[in-house]
Amino acid sequence: MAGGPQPPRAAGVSMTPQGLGELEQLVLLAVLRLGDTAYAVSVREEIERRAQRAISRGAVYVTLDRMERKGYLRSRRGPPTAARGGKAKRLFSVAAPGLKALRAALDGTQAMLDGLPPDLAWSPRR
Amino acid sequence: MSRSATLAERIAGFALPRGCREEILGDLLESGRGAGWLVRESVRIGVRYHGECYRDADDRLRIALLFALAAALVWIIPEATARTFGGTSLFTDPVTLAIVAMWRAAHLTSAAAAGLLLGRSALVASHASPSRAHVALGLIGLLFLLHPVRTALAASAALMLAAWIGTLARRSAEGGVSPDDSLSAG
Repeated sequence: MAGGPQPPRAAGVSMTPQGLGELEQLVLLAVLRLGDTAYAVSVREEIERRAQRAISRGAVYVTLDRMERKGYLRSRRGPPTAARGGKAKRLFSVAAPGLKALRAALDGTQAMLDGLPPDLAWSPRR
Repeated sequence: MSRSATLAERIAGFALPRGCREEILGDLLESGRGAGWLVRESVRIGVRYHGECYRDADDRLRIALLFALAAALVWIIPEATARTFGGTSLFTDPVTLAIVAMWRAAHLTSAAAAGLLLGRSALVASHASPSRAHVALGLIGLLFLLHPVRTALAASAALMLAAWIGTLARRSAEGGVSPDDSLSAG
């Protein structure tokens, strides 16, 4: 059992009773990275490119919908284009509760990693 | 746009949830793949939305409760009428005869009542609405267990019709369309 001092938490962050799943974290991070151009296709491509994870389109759509329902994401419609058959894009941005939940989830992961042997410990560029 | 592409788009649209159909179709069309791929991928995404209904424990409980209530209607009403009304009516006026006829067709009235409950009830959250189609399938299975084939077919039709009417009433009460809000995913 690892003892020692409690890990610090980011200011104003409390652990939510319903934490974020791994895909939810990846989706939130992808939306943050993409900024104004975040929609389902670009989110999926960003996760596949950066996290080297193959995920189905359906998984991305239901995760985006769920996160919006929870208030973690906001969506708006972009302009329709001919390449899309005249259909608009649904563009996403991260809302304040989403940022808070993401920070709490990442803090939790970091707290679990703290104190582990160096070969297991996480570093951003390992 | 070719005829097959238009047809594929229609089929694909039917597989997707109402609330986000346009955006998803747009995303799929953007990839510029063929009609077969469009339909396959839409069905895969639609199936994913159907599975999403059961993700939360609270949603699962509500769906189970809705099924239990509707199943109770389908089972109890014909049982009750069979036990309480075995004879013939002494009155021959049209109103009484109509009531008696309706009472005797309890398999239809119970299926219609269950269908109305299924379509109209706000027990299931709008994002879990595709589960109403699963409940309907379960109820149809139950009808075939309880009744002979011909009766079960008629009762199933009554159930689907009433569920459709109930769905329209719910949508109108909710003031229009909300995401994923349909009896089926489409």
